[in-house]
Amino acid sequence: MKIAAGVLAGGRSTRMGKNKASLEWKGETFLERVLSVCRDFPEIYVSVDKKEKYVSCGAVLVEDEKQGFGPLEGIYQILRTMDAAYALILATDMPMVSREFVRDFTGRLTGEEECLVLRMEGRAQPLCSVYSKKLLPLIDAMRQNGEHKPGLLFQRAKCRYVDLEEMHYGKEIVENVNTPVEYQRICQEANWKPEEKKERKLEAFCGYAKEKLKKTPVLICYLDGFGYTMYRQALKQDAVSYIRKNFSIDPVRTVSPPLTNPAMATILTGVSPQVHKVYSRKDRELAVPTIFAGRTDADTAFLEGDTRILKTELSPKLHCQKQGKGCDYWTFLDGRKAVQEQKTLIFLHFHEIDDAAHTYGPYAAQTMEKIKEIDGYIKSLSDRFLGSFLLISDHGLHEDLVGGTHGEDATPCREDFIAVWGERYEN
Amino acid sequence: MKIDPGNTEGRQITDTFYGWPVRELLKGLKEEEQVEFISRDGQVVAVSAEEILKGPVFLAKEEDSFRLVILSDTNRRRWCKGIVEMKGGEDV
Repeated sequence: MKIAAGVLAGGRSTRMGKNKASLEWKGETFLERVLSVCRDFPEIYVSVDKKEKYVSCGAVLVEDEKQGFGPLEGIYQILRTMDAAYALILATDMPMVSREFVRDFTGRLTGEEECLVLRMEGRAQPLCSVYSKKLLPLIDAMRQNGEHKPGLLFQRAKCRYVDLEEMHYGKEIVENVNTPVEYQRICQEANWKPEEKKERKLEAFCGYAKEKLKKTPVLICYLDGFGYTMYRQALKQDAVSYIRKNFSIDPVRTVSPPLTNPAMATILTGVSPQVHKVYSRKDRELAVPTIFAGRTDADTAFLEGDTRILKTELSPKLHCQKQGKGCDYWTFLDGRKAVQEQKTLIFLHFHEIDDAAHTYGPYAAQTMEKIKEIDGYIKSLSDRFLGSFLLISDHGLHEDLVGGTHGEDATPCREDFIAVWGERYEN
Repeated sequence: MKIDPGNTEGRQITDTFYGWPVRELLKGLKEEEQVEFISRDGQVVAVSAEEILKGPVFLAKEEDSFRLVILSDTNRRRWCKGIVEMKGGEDV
């Protein structure tokens, strides 16, 4: 029985004073948080008032036809658009809902009901309930009659109720946040402040990876040239379907200048160019140890494209294009082999996103195709790898007269400085 | 100084290199192998034997070392300077 997930984000947020979907919660927006909770669902929709306000959210957007009609309009549009038989509907202002809860709740669906309604303290929670696609004619009739209250739908549909109290979750799971005071309260209770969020810096990556390495094998995919703005575009183009569902992705500020040699040196050492002394494409000698110090081929796989860029303690295995396949394909195959051999540190450097972005532009169709290909490699590696799986990139690119660039021969732009840091969700 | 993009006067500018096709320098290369070109500054570029045997991969003389020239690489990403060593295949 296929169940979709739908998030209602089209409300006016009048009591909050700003769009609730964009409120911050522990490093994500409210909408990103709820979408992350829904990541196991095969179809995910976001109901909005105007699509152009949410273009980079990474899910399928459905727009209200009847503006100001309330949640029933959003539910209708989601049911109408989806292929699934049922949809779990959540509100965007429920940041404390969890993946375990939605799995538990939807697992109670029998297929006999038209609505599976969550009830808390005897009150129905329409924005945390499951709706059947079979309700479309009934909901449409209500729309035509100007009847917008979900409670009326529950009176007319075949409903089954589940009490939150019998599910053994606290009330906060479905708590929604409507006013600034409520938002402040949940932040205080969680001991978290929005203003504490800091932009990550590339220098922090190496130390983070080393900490992970103390407890578990680590697989690092270094995606050369994959800037954060490019990632957001790839979300819209559905080019990162696996990464989107399985990794948290954060923007990370790279080094200056935003070039591969100094940025890669920072990724490998955890220090700035002023310390590792690699500033440009001509520099290859590092003044400090890298993450490979003390490691050998027995426990480590360092897999590169066709060029060795830096002089590291461990030399990389190089992979060139051949037999009609690019470098990244052969790098990926050896990465898969390293996973099978259970190396404790596997470092793969993929180059072809950068190549495509330089040739065609960072947002070109050809670049998005290449990103999709790499997304597939990451899935294949992830399916086989048990441990900590990290993604990192060195810089972004901006569009040039022809193709793209990132400061080698031109003044860098902001897009060039914001790279990507990703981590696979723990199951 | 303003530059007029409509100005069609000018000379054709080409690079000229003197060197050797790598396939003539390394006999016995098998298609499935790869050759690594090592630069004095530590950069290493790998090129498949398949590409070398097809033709347009050269070592061009530059002062006291060589430059890797791959004609199909129009953005010159792999045109590595200061090559002092090759690994792969049998030497001529």
